[in-house]
Amino acid sequence: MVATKTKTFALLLAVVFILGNLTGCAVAPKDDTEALAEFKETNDPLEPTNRAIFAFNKIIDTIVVKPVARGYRLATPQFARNGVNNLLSNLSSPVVFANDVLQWKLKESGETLGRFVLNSTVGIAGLFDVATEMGIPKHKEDFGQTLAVWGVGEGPYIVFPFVGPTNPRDIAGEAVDFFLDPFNYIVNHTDKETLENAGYVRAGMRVVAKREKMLDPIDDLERNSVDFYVTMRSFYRQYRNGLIKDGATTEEIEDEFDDFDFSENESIVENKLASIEYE
Amino acid sequence: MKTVRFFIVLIFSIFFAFSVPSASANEKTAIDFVKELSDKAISNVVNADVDNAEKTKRFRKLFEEAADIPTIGRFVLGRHWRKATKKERTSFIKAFKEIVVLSWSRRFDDYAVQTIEFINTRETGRKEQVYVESKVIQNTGDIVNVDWRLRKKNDAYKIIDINIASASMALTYKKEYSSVIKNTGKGVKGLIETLEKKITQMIEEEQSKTSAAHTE
Repeated sequence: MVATKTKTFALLLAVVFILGNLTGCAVAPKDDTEALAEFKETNDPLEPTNRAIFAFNKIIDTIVVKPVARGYRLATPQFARNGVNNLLSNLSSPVVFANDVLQWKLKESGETLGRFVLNSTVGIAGLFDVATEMGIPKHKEDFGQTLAVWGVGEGPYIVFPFVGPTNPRDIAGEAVDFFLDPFNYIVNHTDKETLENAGYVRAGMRVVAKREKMLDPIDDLERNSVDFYVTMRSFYRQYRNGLIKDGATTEEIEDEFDDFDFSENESIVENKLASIEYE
Repeated sequence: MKTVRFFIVLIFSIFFAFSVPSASANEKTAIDFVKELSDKAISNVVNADVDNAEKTKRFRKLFEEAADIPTIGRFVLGRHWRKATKKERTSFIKAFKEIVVLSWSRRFDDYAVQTIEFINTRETGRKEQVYVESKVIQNTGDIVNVDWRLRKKNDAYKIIDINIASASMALTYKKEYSSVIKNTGKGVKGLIETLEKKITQMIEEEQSKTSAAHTE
């Protein structure tokens, strides 16, 4: 198994390397200070390479992942998919718990622990999310968020082959979460083939279940945008920042509105525009 | 510990007992504004027994009343607004509004919203602006956090932004359009051309979808 993993990784590196050489880096604008500020804010120095990998991922998604997710949606009723989602989410709660503790969110860590115990027992091995119904809310934590809470910056935006939008902080986070996960430990240290296979089934189900959930929102974003790459980049960053701040307003949004001049003189004139019909 | 917590709670209760009247009155109207708006959108547009063209028309009217479109448009165009000519500004706002209207009218078909729960309000960095926090519960059971940023102008609320799962729509449009302006290399004019092409495409898609639904 280890050999194939190394092979896959080597293949990934080759894809990144080839695309990187074909496309290169984005050049920072030198003469325009506003454009330069925007370039820094966008924090996507590998944009040409990222765009190429994004296009590559889209092809993979179109021919493999999305059809599988669609098939899964067609073949299963909603309550079954809810069961799968609950099961997967319950299996990841030890990682959430660990990150709650690492961020010193004691109330949340208690809730996560309570949820895990309740859903694993009353909720029949996590198939039913009884904890939410009892008023113990679910929340999302991962090591990428923990690093952010500890003050680690996100680093440049990266589109990873087969994986999609991410950044160095979240890549490190994923790696640490893998080791924090007791179930990964169990499936990697077993002689039983069924248990080993369970690890792969879980990993596969995670991808399919996540993609099924995102079928409509991603179609929506793509259909309604004129630069899908930028929409995804912006959405990913804002979504992650929102998770880090646990739903409070993010600095990025507050800064943008602080910098914006709301003074009326201009918009009073333009106000007439609101009712102009598009022909 | 317990006594300390008790006193903290007590102090806060006393503090809020005096400060609440004006605050809660404000809070109520902001939540009411969004609540009435969403009720209206659901009964007059989403669940109304009319064809899609009529739904789009009704939503456009609602959007014009409820949102400060020129301000949002100016925000979305960002630093490029200053360089844009009067005519470009007008064309941009018209096109931007249409993109938003067409995007939403399609969403009404795709997402079956079960209920919208309005929880409370959240302060912003500006005192005349506030977020109304809501949870949109879909038929699938999925819950999406939607925050509505309102601005009070002449004693009336207007929507200036919507955050879906923490992502600001206005900011996402801003980033996207800024990139289009950079990549087309034709300034705001290039963006307007791109948007107008997109609108034509969206209208065609909507029409082919409607005619497909009729033949079925």
